Amino acid sequence: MLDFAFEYRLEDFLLAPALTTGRDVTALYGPSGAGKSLTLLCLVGLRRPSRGYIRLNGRTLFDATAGIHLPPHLRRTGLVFQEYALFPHLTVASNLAYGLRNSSRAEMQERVQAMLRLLRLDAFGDRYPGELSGGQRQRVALGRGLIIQPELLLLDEPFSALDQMERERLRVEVLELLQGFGGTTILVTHNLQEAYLMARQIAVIDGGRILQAGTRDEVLQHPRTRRVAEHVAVTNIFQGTVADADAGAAAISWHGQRLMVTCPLPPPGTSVEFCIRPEDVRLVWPEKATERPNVLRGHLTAEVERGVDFLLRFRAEGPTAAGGEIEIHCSEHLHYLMKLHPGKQVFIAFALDKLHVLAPPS
Amino acid sequence: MELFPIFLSIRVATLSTMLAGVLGVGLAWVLTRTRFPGRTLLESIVVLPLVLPPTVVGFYLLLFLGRSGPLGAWLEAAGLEIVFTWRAAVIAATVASLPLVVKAVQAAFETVDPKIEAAARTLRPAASVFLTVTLPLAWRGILAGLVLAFARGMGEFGITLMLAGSIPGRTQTLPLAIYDAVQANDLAQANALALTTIGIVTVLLFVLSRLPRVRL
Repeated sequence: MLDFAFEYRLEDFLLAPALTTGRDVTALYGPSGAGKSLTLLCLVGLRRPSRGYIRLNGRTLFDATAGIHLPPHLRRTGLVFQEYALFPHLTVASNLAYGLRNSSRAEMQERVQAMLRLLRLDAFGDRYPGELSGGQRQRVALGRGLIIQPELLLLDEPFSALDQMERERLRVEVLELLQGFGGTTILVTHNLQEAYLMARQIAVIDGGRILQAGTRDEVLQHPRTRRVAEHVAVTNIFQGTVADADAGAAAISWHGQRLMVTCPLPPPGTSVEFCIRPEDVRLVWPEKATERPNVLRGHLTAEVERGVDFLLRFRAEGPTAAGGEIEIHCSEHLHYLMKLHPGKQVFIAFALDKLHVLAPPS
Repeated sequence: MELFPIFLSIRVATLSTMLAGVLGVGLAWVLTRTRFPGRTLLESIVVLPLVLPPTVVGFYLLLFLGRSGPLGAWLEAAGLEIVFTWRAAVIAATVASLPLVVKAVQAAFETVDPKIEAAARTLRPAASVFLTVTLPLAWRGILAGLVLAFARGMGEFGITLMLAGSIPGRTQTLPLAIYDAVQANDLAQANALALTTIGIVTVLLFVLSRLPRVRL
């Protein structure tokens, strides 16, 4: 288990992340300049925070009050960079063996061979990093970190330097490799799709702070604040008023439209922000529109074809139009079946459990 | 031809290159890899011998290391004579070549990707990383600095004259001996010594060009 809360100041930027994670993959997800990489440098011990603590499986790696600051090589932490950072003057085998200083020669060779096999680079032990492809280099970098059997593995945007095909292949390979790794992994990424694909947990970081951390579905479906919602691509964020707060009949009034919700609500009359993911907005066949709750009638105002799906914009009819446009993701198949096009009148529905109320900004 | 100045100069240049190499690599590392108040001041002081007239540098070294100077008195008490000995020639050549080494090595260290060092630091202690990653990757730049230092040590004139004098058979290095020969109108001697200097530097450069390249 990794548990940390610390402060590190870099000129005007204050990094103050706090997180507790278990033995699986956590994505540290946020925009550039959020403090992701700096957090890794502090965790690995290359930067010394001014306050706080870092604990890994019961060991204290850093504690400002106790004056503990373990040097990086004693932290049992592997670090993998976007640009691989392999040693260009050493062979692949020597790169892998770099962290195995205290092993016997025979043991070292055995572990390097085993790692080469695991990385499917058996034939490349004597090559130099400059002779490998980007994906192969990144595998070596990962192997170099894993071979010391670390308790914590830190991956700093490990796929960003690769082209699309290699990136997707390597993501799968890395997931396989990580299955055999029993420790904690922190994956830094600014790609939400990558965070979702690779990690069980997502921690959203911005402005040097972790805004929310939890399972990937929790963070994506239930962003705590508007800021988190925006970071996790919840594009439909609206303002309404609580109409009824009783459990079982909870509802929000939104420009004349009554929207039933399942989440708990503050007292009636309170102004609230609520949101729904664009992929959770359902298009409803007209003949079924009366059977469903939370149905809005309106028309499509725009569409963008995105290869695998369509991004549609919808505006409701009547007073609800003032609530703003709603973004919808719709499969190509459904788009074809419903014969959708901009200007067409359609019905949409918000599933009760997909409508989510955001906490007021603090 | 008199051989003493040749051997003295080779000895002085070799020792001063070693001294300036160790000091210069250390200083360059401090200047590129650490941040502390007074860093720019230190850098300026190191580079000073490059811009000041050698006689000025020699003059203050003489005051500092002379028998009544702060360090000189202390060294003399310890039984180590500096001024007007071959040791003074080594110090003069070291001071003159140090800025060249520092500048070259600084540039070399700056070409080493900090992320490579960072990755190495997670696997080995800092000192080992310096020896096995930083130095090998900066090797060519360091070598270039050392070549410059050796050449500068072979050619040092002004500071040496001020600090070590030009005592034949004791502190008279090649450049000083050439000057002396010209003054005495012994052009044959001057020419022989000058050609020897050219020969030594040419051989050095040739050997260096044959060294294996570091694979990158």
